[in-house]
Amino acid sequence: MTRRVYINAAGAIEIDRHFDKSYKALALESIRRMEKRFSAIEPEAVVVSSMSPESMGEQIGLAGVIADYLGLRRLKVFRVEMGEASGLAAIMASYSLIASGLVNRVLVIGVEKITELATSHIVRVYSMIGDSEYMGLYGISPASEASMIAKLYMARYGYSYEELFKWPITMHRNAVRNPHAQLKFMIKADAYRDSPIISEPLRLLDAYPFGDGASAVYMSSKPGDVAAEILGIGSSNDAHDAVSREDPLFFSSIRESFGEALRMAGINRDLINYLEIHDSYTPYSYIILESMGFAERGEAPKRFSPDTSSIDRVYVNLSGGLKARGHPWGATGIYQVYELFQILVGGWNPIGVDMSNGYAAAQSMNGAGAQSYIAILRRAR
Amino acid sequence: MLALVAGPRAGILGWGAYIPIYRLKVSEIARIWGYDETVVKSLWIEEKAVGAIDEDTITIGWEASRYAIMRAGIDPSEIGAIFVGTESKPYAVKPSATIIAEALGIPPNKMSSDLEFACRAASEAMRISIGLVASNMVRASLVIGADTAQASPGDLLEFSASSGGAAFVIGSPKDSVAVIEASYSYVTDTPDFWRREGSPYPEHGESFTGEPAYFSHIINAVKGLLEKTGLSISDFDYTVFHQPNGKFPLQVGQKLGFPREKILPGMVTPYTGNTYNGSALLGLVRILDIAKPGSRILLAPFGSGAGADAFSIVIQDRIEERRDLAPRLDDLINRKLYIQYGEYVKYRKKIVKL
Amino acid sequence: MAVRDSPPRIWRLRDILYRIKYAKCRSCGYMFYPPRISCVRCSSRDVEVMISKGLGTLVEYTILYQVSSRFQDSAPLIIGLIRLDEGFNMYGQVVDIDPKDLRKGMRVEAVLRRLRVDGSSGLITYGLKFRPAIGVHHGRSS
Repeated sequence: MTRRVYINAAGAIEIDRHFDKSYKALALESIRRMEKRFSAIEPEAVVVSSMSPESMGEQIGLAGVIADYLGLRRLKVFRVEMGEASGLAAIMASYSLIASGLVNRVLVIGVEKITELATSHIVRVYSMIGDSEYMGLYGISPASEASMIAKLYMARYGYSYEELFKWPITMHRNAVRNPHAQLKFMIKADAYRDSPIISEPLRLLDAYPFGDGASAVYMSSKPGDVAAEILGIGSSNDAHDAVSREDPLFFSSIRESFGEALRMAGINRDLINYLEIHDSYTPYSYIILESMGFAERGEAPKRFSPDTSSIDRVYVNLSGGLKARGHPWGATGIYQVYELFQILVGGWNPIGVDMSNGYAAAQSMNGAGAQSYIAILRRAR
Repeated sequence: MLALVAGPRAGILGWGAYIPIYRLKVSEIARIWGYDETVVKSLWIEEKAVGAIDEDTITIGWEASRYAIMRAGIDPSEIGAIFVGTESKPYAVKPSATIIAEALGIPPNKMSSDLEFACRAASEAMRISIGLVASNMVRASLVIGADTAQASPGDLLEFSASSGGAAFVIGSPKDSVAVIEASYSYVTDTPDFWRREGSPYPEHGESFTGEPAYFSHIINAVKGLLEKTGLSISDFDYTVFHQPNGKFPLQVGQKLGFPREKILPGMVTPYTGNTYNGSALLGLVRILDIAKPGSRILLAPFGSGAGADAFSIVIQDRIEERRDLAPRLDDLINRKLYIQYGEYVKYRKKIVKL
Repeated sequence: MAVRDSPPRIWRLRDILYRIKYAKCRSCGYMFYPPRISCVRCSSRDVEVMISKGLGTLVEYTILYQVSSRFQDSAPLIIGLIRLDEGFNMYGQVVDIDPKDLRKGMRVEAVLRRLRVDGSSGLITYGLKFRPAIGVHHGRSS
C-alpha cells in the first residue's frame, strides 16, 4: 500500500541566541551543515516547521519565503505548525507525502526565532499555545500549567522538589557532550537554590531555555548508501488543557501515539534503546516516560537512573533534551530526528555505547500532552 | 406597611455593598507627605479602602449589585433599569451600567446609563427609580453608587478618597424590605469641588466646601423634606448623612438637632474612607443590616456642584428574612489586608510607566 | 509591538468572560470546562451546557512570576486549580489573598475583575477571577 520512507541526510545549527541570523540565514546554515557531510540534495517538496514566525517575524507563509531564498523553486511547499510539536508533525506530514507516492524527496526544515523580544513578550507569544478563550485569556501560561502538574504529581506520589530536580542535572550533564546544545554546562545538585522561580515550585533550571535554531532533514523513498528508516509514526490528541481530563498526570495522547508507532514498526517497546523526549518542564519528563509505559504511574523518578540517563533499557535524552539541548519550538522535533539520525547513522557516540544497530524513538508534544507525535527509526538495512 | 405620608412611592427590594479588601492607614499617608497627626485625627478617618489594580467602579458595582439582587430574590431579567452613579468612570464614554448589566445577566429591554453629580449621582438615580417604579414604567430598577475616588497625591483629600460601593434594587413598596415614603432634592450651582475634563484629580475650595456647600444643601434638603411631609426630627430613629469624613455628619447633625446616637450607627467613612457615591449609601446599608422593622431612617446624600437629597425610609417586616442572604457591610469592613503607600500608588495607577 | 484588542472579539467573548459555562455529559455524567461539543471522557455528543454558581474549592495553586507582558502589572499571578461545586475543574486567577495564606481546600468564589487593559485608550476586558469566599450565601448565579 505505501512506500518505505528514509532519512538520507540531516544537519543542525547550534541552538543559541542568534541575534545576527534571520529565519533565512538559520535555515541556510542548517542545510549547509547537512550538505557538508552528505551529497547535495534535490528535493521535490519543502516542508518548513515553525511555531511563531507570524508573532516574532511578521511573516506568514514562511515556507514559501525560505524556499525562494534557498533557490528551491518549482517545488511543492508546505508550512506545518502544531505548536511545540510542529517538528514531528512536519516529519509525519513529509512521511505521508513520500509513503503515498505523491513525492519522492522532501526537504524538511525546522526553524525558529524566539530571542527577538523581551522575556515577557516571549511568554506572551508562547502562551498562545493555550486556548485563547481560556488559558491564554486568563494569563495562565504553559509554565504555570506545568507547575500545577508538578505540585499535583508531588502530592499524589509523595516526591519532593529535590527528588524531581535530578532530571535537569542529568540533562545538563548530557548536553556537555552534544555539539549543538544551548546549555553546555553542568549544574550542581543544589543549583536550583539560585535559580529564579518561574512559577513555584518550578525554577528557570526546570524549564527549557529560550533560543533560536534550525535543523534540516532530507527524506526520500530510497535508502541510498546509508540512511535511517522511519519504521513507525504515530500521533494522537487529547483535551487541550490538562485539568479538563480525568487524570491530568497521565498523557493518553502519548500512550496512543506510541502504541500506533510501535504497531506500525511491528515491535515492542523493549526493543527501543534510544529515546528523545519532550522534557519542556521537569515534571513532564516523568509523566512522558510513564505514559510511554517505561515505568508505572508515579514510578519514573525512581526508575530513571541519572548516572546513565536511562530507564528500563532505554537511554533517554543524551542530547540534553529540551531542558539543556534547547527547545526552539517548531524546530525541536527536527532536532530530535537529527539526533536519532546521528546515533543511528551519523557516528555520534556520546557515552561509548554503540546504539547504531538498535531502534530509536523521538517523542514531541504541544503543551501538556495536548497533541503528541512519536517516530521510531532504525538504521536502514 | 407603616407610612404617614401620601405621594408616589417605591421601596427597596434588596440592598448590597462591596468594599475592596486592601486598607491603607491614614497615618501612612501622613508619614509620606509630612502631615502632623492632629490634622489627621481631626478628620476622624482611621483607614481607607483601596481597590486592587484589577478593581474599578464596574467591578465594585457588580459585586454590590449581586448581593442586592440576592437579597431582593428576583431574577435579573425583572430589572428594567440600571443606573450607575459615579465620578470615577472607567470609560469617559461607554456606560459602566451596560457592562455591569451584561455581567449580571440583565437582558437588553432596559433603561441604562451612568449619572454624574459628584457624590450624589446615585442618590438622584434613586429618586428617578421611584418615579419609574411608581409610574409602572419598570418593575424593578437597580441603582448603584460606586467609586474608586482619586485625590492629588499629598492633598488633604488623599486621606479620605477611597474605593467602594452600594447597590439597591428599587421596586414596588408592597414587596419591599423598606419603603421610601418621601424624598426631596435641593440643587444649586455651587463651585465647591470639581474636576475638569482631562484632569486626573479634582480640585476644591477647602473651607468653601463646608458652609456654602455641604452644610447649606443638606440642611435645606432635610428642612424641605420635613416641611413637605410634616415629619419632625424626633420621628427618625436613624440619620445617615453624606460622610466625606467622620466629622461633617456629626456637625450637620448637631446643627439640625439630631442626637449623636442616631448618627453613629450609620457612620462608615471612618473605617473605609469616603467612597463618594457610596458614601451616604453605605451608611444606609449599615442601617438596613441592623435596624428593626418599623424604624424610620433619614437619608441625606450630598454631591458637590452642588446638591443634596433627603429621603424618609421606613423598614418593613420582610427585612429580617432577607438580611442574611448576602454578607453584611461589617463582614466586608472587617475583611482586610493592610498595604503600604507603595502598593497603594501602584494599585491606583499613580505611577507613570512606559 | 502594539497588540490591540479587537472590539468584536471582546464582545463575542462576553458569555465566556462574564459567566462560567461548563458542560455536563448526559451519557456518562462527566463535567468539564470549557464546554466542547462532545464529552471529554466518553466522546458522546449528548452534552448539556450549564452555568456554574461560581462557588468552589481551591484544589491546588502556583504563584506565577514569569508572566506574559499582558499581565505584568499584576505579577506575580496566583494561578489556582479550582473544583467548582457542580463537579468540574478549571484554572483561574486567585485574588484578594496574600500568597502565604493560600491553603488547599479553601472555599473560593468567582468575581468580576479587570482581566486585561489595552493601553490607555483601548478596551478593558472584564472577566471572572476567584477570591476567598465571603460568608455563606445561597444566591443565583449571574
